[in-house]
Amino acid sequence: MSDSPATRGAGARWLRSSHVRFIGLILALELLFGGALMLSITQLVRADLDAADRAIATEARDTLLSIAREEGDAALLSAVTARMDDDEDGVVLLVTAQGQRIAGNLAAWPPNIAATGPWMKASLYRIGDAAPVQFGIAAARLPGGRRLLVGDQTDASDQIRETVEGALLTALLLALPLAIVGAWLAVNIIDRRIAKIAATAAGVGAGDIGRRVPLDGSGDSFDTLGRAINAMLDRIGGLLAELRAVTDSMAHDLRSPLTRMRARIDRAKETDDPAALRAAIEGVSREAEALLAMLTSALEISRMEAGIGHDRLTRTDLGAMLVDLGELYEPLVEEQGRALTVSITAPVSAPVHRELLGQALSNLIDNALKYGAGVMTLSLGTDAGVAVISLSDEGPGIAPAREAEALRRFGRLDSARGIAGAGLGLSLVAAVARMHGGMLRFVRRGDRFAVEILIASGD
Amino acid sequence: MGRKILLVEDDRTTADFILKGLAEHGHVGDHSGNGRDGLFLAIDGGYDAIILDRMLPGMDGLAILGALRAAGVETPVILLSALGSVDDRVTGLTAGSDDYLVKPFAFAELLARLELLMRRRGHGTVVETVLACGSLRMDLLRREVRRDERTIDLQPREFRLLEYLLRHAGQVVTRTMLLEGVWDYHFDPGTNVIDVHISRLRRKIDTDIDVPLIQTVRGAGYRLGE
Repeated sequence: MSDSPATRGAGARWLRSSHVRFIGLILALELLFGGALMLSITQLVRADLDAADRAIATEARDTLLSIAREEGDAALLSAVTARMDDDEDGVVLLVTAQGQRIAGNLAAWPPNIAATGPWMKASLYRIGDAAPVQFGIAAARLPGGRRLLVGDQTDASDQIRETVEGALLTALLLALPLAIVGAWLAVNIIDRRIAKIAATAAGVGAGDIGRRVPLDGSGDSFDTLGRAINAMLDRIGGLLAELRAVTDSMAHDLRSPLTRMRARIDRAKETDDPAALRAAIEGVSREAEALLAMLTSALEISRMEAGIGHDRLTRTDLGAMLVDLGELYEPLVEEQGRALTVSITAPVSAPVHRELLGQALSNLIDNALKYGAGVMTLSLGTDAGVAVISLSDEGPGIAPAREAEALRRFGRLDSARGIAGAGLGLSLVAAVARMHGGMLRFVRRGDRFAVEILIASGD
Repeated sequence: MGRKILLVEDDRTTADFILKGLAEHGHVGDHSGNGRDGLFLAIDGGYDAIILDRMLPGMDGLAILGALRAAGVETPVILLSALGSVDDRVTGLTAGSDDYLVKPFAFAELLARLELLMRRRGHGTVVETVLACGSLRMDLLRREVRRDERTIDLQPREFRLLEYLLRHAGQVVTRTMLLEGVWDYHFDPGTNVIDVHISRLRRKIDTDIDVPLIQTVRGAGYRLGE
């Protein structure tokens, strides 16, 4: 974990926390959407109320206009006067072309109102009023230049609008704490799921390799994440177990040659005889060689099993490879009074790691030389689309019950203990076969024993 | 003939072992215990060959090799490494080294490979059609081998083995060098495979003759010469 620089205070760290950011985001969105909703509802209500007010004022004006048109000026005058007396909430004014009041409850024509203008709102002082009152006003010009103004109070509409706006604002403010609580709950749910995964990772980090993320089987993102982490931990656990097995058996098997070496050195310290000293040095040197060979093979096997070297597979003519190898070994085999024949029943090419496969095959020939008997045959054929490389001879082979033991790393059968070798020969061959996607098998046909490497030919 | 050789190796014991061996064989060895000085000397010093440890403190041997080749220094380089797997070897060779030797090694092996590299540089690219050593002649065009007046019948692989020995006449060639040079095998097929091939060749070339040409060099390998 990295500490934040001293210059950044606790406040800055608090702001960077994803909780605060998440809650802040929810709040901002709530305010944005709530505000927009409130604004549009207010606008709608206002437009509706204004339309109603406009209808009342224009209707009153139109009534007076029709009275003037149909019944004459006297009727208009009385209607105006009647309206002035009847309607306490109304305003009415009739003026001459020069602007002199004829009738009405306003002292003069308000300068901000045009006789031909549309319906509008204005605050006016009626005669006898102490305070201005808000009216919705409709005006008109009469024949002869006279002007008529009719209005109606809008305080009821204003009341409604204020109520609606107040209610909306309250709802918005009430929703804020709810949003905070909601966001906090969501953050908490996520937190709890992540905490389980983090606790598992921390536990494994502290050495509890067997620990796994608890799964709920829901298949959601957290479940998938947990599953992926568990699969990774299983793989790591497998590799660790493998490593432990290798180091255990290596420690065990390195100990005996090292002990032998030390015994030789200890004995050599006691003697002054130059011949004995030389023999001791040569013995130690041989033991060291064997140890080195053993280490090299063990490392090579581990690397193969870790999947290193896969990128070096190249398509190779296996037949030519076997012929070459046979030619290399033939003189040595003959020298030991035995024979090596190479038999290619089918030409096969396959993607192989030339060096590692070569090493594996020479291990097989080496084994046959040490433990086998009779004519050795190195052959190549195919079996159900799989390349089969086989080395057989007429020796006793490996008893079926001992096969697994022979393949074990550092495993040496009792009969082999007296013969030099590290016990890695066959397990290296098996590892090479597995690396090529194949396997190693032992086959007994009549009196011949064969070790076969199966390799996918990749066609 | 003494050569100037640079050794870049941080392990004191190994370095002393190599420097002592070089001096015994008449070469002048300079030593650097770290990559930075080693690179400086290698670019500056006009060496005949460089022995470079692959794992050095501070600077990786492969990085030094890359820097050297990038600077246009074509001095032959042998990489020494405790990383002995087949893939490590291939990585080392593709990185621009001329040879790769896995620790621990016999000094004779290192010396033989060094001399091979330095001689290869000296030769240039003259195409030879006849190789000879003493009374032995090999005609590469007619694929014919004669010892004095006697024609010797050789198998194709024996022919290539002898050709390799003739091309490196007078030099020590080790068993691994033969495996790599004649069979192109970069793995260890067991100890005495090569010995049997050599003894067969020897029987064909050196039989009934007072002056044997194929010499066994104890603890190292073979040398062709009188």
